[in-house]
Order: sequence, then C-alpha cells, then structure tokens
Amino acid sequence: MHTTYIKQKWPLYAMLVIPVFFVILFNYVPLYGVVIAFKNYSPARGFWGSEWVGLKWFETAVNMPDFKFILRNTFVIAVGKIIFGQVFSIIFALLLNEIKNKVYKKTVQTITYFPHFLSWVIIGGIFTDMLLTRGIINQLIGLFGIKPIFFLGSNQWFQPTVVILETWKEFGWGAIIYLAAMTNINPEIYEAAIMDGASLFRRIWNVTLPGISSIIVMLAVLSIGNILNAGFEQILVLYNPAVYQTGDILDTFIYRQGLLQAQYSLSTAIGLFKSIIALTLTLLANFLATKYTDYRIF
Amino acid sequence: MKRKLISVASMLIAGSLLFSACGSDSGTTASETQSSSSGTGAQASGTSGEKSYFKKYDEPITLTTHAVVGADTMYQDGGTAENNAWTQWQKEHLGIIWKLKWVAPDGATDQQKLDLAFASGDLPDVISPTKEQLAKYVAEDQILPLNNLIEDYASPLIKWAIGEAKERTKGSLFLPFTKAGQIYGFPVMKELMDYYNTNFIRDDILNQMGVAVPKTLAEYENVLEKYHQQYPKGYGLGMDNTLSAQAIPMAAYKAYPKHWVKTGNGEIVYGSIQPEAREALVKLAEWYKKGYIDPEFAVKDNSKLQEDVVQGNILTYYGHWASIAAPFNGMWSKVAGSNVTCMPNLTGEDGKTGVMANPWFDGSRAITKACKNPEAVMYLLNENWDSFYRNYTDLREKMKNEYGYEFKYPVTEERKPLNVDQVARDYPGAAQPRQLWKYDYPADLEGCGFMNSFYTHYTVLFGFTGGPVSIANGALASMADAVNKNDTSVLIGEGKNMYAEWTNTNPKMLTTFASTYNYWSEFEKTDEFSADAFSGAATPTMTEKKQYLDKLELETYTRIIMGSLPITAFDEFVQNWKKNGGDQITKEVNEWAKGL
Repeated sequence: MHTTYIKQKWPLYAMLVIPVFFVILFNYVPLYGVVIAFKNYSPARGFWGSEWVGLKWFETAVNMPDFKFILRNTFVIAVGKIIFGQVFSIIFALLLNEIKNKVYKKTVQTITYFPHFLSWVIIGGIFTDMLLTRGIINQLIGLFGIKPIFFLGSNQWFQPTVVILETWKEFGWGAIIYLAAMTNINPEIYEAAIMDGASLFRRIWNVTLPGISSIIVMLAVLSIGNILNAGFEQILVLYNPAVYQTGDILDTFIYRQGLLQAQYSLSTAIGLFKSIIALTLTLLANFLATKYTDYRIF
Repeated sequence: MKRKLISVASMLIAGSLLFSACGSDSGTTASETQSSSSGTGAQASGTSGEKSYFKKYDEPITLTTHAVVGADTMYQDGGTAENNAWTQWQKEHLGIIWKLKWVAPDGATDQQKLDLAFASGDLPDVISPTKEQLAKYVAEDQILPLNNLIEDYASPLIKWAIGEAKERTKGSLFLPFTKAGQIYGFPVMKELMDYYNTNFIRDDILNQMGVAVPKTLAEYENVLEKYHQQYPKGYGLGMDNTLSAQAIPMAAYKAYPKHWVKTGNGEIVYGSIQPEAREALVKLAEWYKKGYIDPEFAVKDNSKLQEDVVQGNILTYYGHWASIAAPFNGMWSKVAGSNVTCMPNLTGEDGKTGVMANPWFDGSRAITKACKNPEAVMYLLNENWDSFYRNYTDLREKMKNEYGYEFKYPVTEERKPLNVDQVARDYPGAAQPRQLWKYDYPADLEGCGFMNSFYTHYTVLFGFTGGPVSIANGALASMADAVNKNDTSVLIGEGKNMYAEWTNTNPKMLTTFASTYNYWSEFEKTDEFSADAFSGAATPTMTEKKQYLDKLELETYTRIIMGSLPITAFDEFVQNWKKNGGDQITKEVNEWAKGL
C-alpha cells in the first residue's frame, strides 16, 4: 500500500523539491553567518578567518548605557501594537460580519485595508504633517477645547501615537483572517441560537467568538514572536531626537550601530539575541496554548 | 597676478590630485610644437635637468580600476566606460590600457563593491576608497605608500601644487590618509566652499523692516525680535532636527559643536562639551521660548524645513552654497520680490567670530601593492596637469623662473563646444540626463588636458568620484569673478555654461552665489576660520561608542533648546559623555595628533 501511495503522489513530492531547496538555500544556508556574532568580524579575513571573541558583543550590547531604555521601549511599543492590533481587528471583524449589505461591506473592507499597502515612508510623511501642533488633528481636538498636543515630540505621547498609528494602518488587514474564520461557522448554530431567543450580542458572545477562538489563539501565539519587533520602518520615519528616550528601539539601534558604523558583529549579536527571545516565547506560548485550550499549532 | 595665482592653485588642488587624465604624444612631436611656440628649443620641454617626467610605454601596460557611472550617463560617439575617446587616447599615446573591474551606478554601491573586492583579496590596481576604507586596507597591508613615488616621479608642477594645497588646507592635505608618516592616498579634493555652510538671510525682509544685514549677535537678536513681531507666521532662525543651524549663534561664542578643537596648550578637545557651547545653548533655548525657532523643529528634517523656506516663512537659512538651487530657486518663484544674501558669521561681545571647517577630505585615490606599474600613475598625472594648465601663463612663468620647469605643451586656443544649447550636466539645478559636449577640437591638438576639460565626464570614468567637481568648481571662482566685474569674459571652463544656465533659470542664483563666494574667499583668510583638529579615520572607540555619544548629544541639545530639559542637563551630559567612552576617544584623538 505504501508503494502505491508513493506511486500516486510522486508528482506532488517532486513539485516540493524546488521550494524545499529554496528554503534551505535562503533560510538555512545563510544561518552560518550567525557565527560572526561570536567573532571579531573583518571582511578581509572573512567569516572563518576572523578570531573568536566569545560573548563579547553580547556584553558590549548589554553594557551600552541606553540598552535598557531601548529594550523597554521595544517591548512596550511591540506589546502595545500586538494587543491593540488584535483587539481592534477582532471587534472590526465582528461588526463587519453583522453587515448584510454586501456592497457596503466590501467597500468598507477595501477602504480599511488599503493603508496596509502603503509604505511608512509615505504614511509617516503625511502624519508628521497632520500631527503638528498646527496640524489638522490638533485643530480637530481644539474644537473640544483641548490644548494642542505635540504628539511626535513629547515623551508622554510618542509611544501611544505610534501604537495607534500602527493599529489604524493594519486593523483592516488583520480583520480579513477573522472574517474568513467566521464564514466557516455553521449557520445552523446561529439559527438555533435565534430559536432559543439569543440577542445579537449573545449570539456574538456565545457563537461567533467561540467559533473563531482557535484562530485567535493561533494568531496570538504567532504574534508573541514579534514581541521585540516594534516596527523598524515606522519608528525610523517618525522618531526624532526629542523622543529618543521613549522612541528608540532595538532595530533603530542596530541600524545606527550596525549599518552606519559598520559594526557587523555587534548588530548580528543583537539580532541573534532578538531571535532567541522570540523563539523561546513562541514555544512557551504554544506550550501554554496546548495546555489550556487543547489547540496546538506545532 | 598674485590673485590669479591663488585661483590657479585652487584649481590645481581642486583638480582631483590624481590623474583624471591622460598623456601626450610621447616626447618628440610635443616638444617640437613647444619649441616653435615658446622658443626654448634646446632642452626637451617638460623636463628639468636630465630627468623626464613623461613616458610612453612601448610595450603597453594594463592598469585595473573601478568606476562610478550614473545610469543616465551618455557617451559621445557610442563609447563605453571602458572604451572611449579618452581611453583610446591613453592607449595610443601613453601605452596605458585601463581595465575596469566593475562599473557601479552610484557611490554607495561602488564602496560596497570595493569592500567585497577587498574581502576576496581582489582589489584593482588603482582604487577610490573613503578614508575609513583606506585605513582598513592599510591595516591589512594592501596599499602602497606614495612618499617615494611622489619624490621620484612627480614633476615640479605637481610638487608645487601639493605644497600649495597643503598650505591652503592648513597642513591637513594628506592627514586623513597618513599612517606613521607614510602617505597612502591622494585626497580627492573639492572646492573648499563645499566644506562649510553659509548663513543665508532674506534681505528683502530686512529692507522692509528697515534694518541692515546683522553682523553681531546682538544685532541679529534685534532682527529676530522685529521679525517675530512683524511676521508672526514666520520663524527667524530656520532649524531642522539635525540642529545644523545652531552654528549661527555658536559662531559668536566661538563654540564648535561636533568638531575637535585645539586648545591653547596644544591639547585637542571635543567642541560639543565645552562651556562655550553651553552658553550658546542658553541663547538658543531663549530664542525657542520667544518663538524665533519653530516649536516643532525636532520633527522636521531638512526637506520639511526647505518647504517652509519655499513658502517664505523662514528669515535665516543655514546651508550649502548649492541652496541657491534648492530651496531658494523655489522660493524666488513662489514668493514675489524675495531675495537672499549672505549673512556674515556673527561676532560676539569681543567682536570676534569663530567658524570651523569640516574635515576636508573623505575620499581618496590609492594604489594597491599588487599594482605592477605604480609609476605609470605619476606619469599620467604629470602629463595631464601639464596639458591641462598649459594656458595659465602666470603659472608657466612661475614654474620656469622658480623651478626651472618648462611646460611640455604650448599655449593653445581654447575651443568652444558645438552643442552648448542642448547640454545638461551634473551640477546643482542641472536637468537630466547628463550629456557630453561635442567639441570642435582640431586633429592636431596636442595633449589630453583639453580633452579632460571637454569631457569632464571622463574624470568620473575611473571611479574618481570627485569627478566633474574638479572642473566645475574652478569654474565657480570665475563665476563669482564675472558677477563682480560684470564681465563674462573672465569665465573659464564649465563656468561659461553654468553662468548661462543660471542666468536663464534665475539671475538671482548668480548674485546670491557671488555674495556667498565673496564673503568666504575673504573670510577663509582670517584667523577666525580654522580647520577641524582631527581629520583621521574613526578611532576604535569611536567605531564602538560614537553612535551612542552622538545620540546622547543630539537628544540633550534638542531637549535643552526645546526647554524640556534645563540647562543643567548640559553638565550631566558632559559627565556622561566623558564616562561612556568620550574620555577614551579624546585620548585616542590626541594620540593620533602626536603620531603625525
């Protein structure tokens, strides 16, 4: 029987060869470059010729006077984005799911996920203008008697501002997968709920949300891997010297130290550090999810 | 004549020191022409004593290099980067064949490729590294020291020019490329004006307010206040998030942020942590509070600031001379009657000002140890300069009388380009694509120097990224001269076309430029103008810590100016700076200076 299986399916396996080859070539082979995190890398001597320095670069990074600020900022901004992004996407998907007019629904959906396709360089430029103290947003809130806020230039406002902007940009896109999950819920369950006299809110709470709970868990677990990804492009475009204290993140640090100062070993070390933390947390989250929700991703 | 000579000197050093160049029909024909025109006869021209500074290789040799050629660059007569009129000329007349290991579309790519070539042990014979790259290659023993090469092969003309250039750069000509007394690279020079920024001020607004161009800090403050009252929408001091405009008040306090300063006892200290900078910061914070500076400058990069300038909302703008193209060209067409002029560097209470130039050189041309014929490079340089500066009669006289050096090439009538009206080239405000001039040069024209000036473009050819600047900026001096004298006949080289094009675009470009040039050419000679005391490649601690220290500095300065930190934060910053690597860097910089 085994042989017939192979005989039948071999074209599929053959088709897999190329993608697997590419994954090995582009995702695994470059991994050996990670060694430069433990070496004093000099391009002249190459990967293997450079001398070993152990954990020197990790120490250098941790001993940077601003490292703990940077780590904290990265963490706060990333967690803020994960929580806000998920919550808004779910609420938005729930609302959209209740709309029965198809044209209206599609229109709203298209408009809301459009910003996902724009680069931060563009959006950042627009928002820098809009968020000025004389900009349109401050004019709007000024109508309610609120004093102008210097969103991008004050340490209190910078982090909330970048989290909200990111949420605004991505919530429409994030809702797509939840909407797809909702279409998989058997309509008979809704009919039964209506027969039982459940209100709209009850139906959402007791039918829709449990129906997509496995997707929510999965996305939550996967997003834990992003716990130290605070969004390089966005921060690079929006941060400025006045908010270094709350706005500087690991990626901008790597950019300045690694690329601008050509400290390849140091930036590789920090990148590796990020990956190890992300991997650990993802595994942990998966473990917890398996334990408490009976749903495992891998 | 003295003046003329100085400008020749500036052109000489402006010309990328190394061969942007070529050679001549070896010896005989050239010297025959020479004899008949100058009448020196007996001695072979271009020589002093027995020694010849020119050579044709009978058995052609090959030199390898690399080039930066923009994608929009067009070659006349269908040539390529490797094979064109210029290279053919060299092959034929000098026996030098150039091979390009790569052609990069821009400087950044070129640097990457150079590092790659270095990493794989495959550097070309002649390279154009930055000073950081060069230091790296020298440390790995890849680069040929040039001291003996210059001594043995350079013509008196070149040696004289090097001397002049050293003087004009206050001794720092070779410093970035020197290690333990050995010179490893020729600096790629630009016109000195490229190394400092000008204070531009709206003189139409000054006229309306009935005040003169301010010269002292007190006068300037007065102007700022008046401007603030009369133009509440505008900001007196145009500041962006790099804080470059802080230089305007800093000059009056003799503070040199971001520069290395030599103190009275010969020690080198970092300008940003000195008490003078603190005083200037207090002043800036006061101005910010009074509304002379945009409250949101911290989120505005230079392009946003330029938008404000174009709208006519900025009184003083601190920038490179090329600001006449952007933002001012935009402003002139947008704001009717607007005008800008150069504001002198402000003097403080003691009537003095202090301005420091950026380190002068970054790029270099170096010869690798693998090169089999390094002397060919010097022959090429000799040939090219002789040919290129042949029409400078003052210089000819001087070289003959003082150094016994006869030019190889005779004075020759300059030719006009054929297609001037269609030409667009590589300078601020030029339209794309770049295109070469077609020249009507006679078949019997001797030497490559003229070709060099016609095909300024080819100077880019071998990766000599200083490229066309060498010609264009010699031309800049002549343009200022032409405006001053109201006489276009003094224009030289590319200056003719730039002058015509600027006149077409907006004559204000010329007058504003001239006001800037006039000011700096005088100011440059005063003792109020100095050079950065450190011009070496980054020290080890700089590589490791500078990123953090720069961030700390920018953050502290920005927040002090914005008032979100009190001025006492400056003292804390100084302590932090010293503690977190600053002291070590200062030590390394002083060691560097001792090792010169």
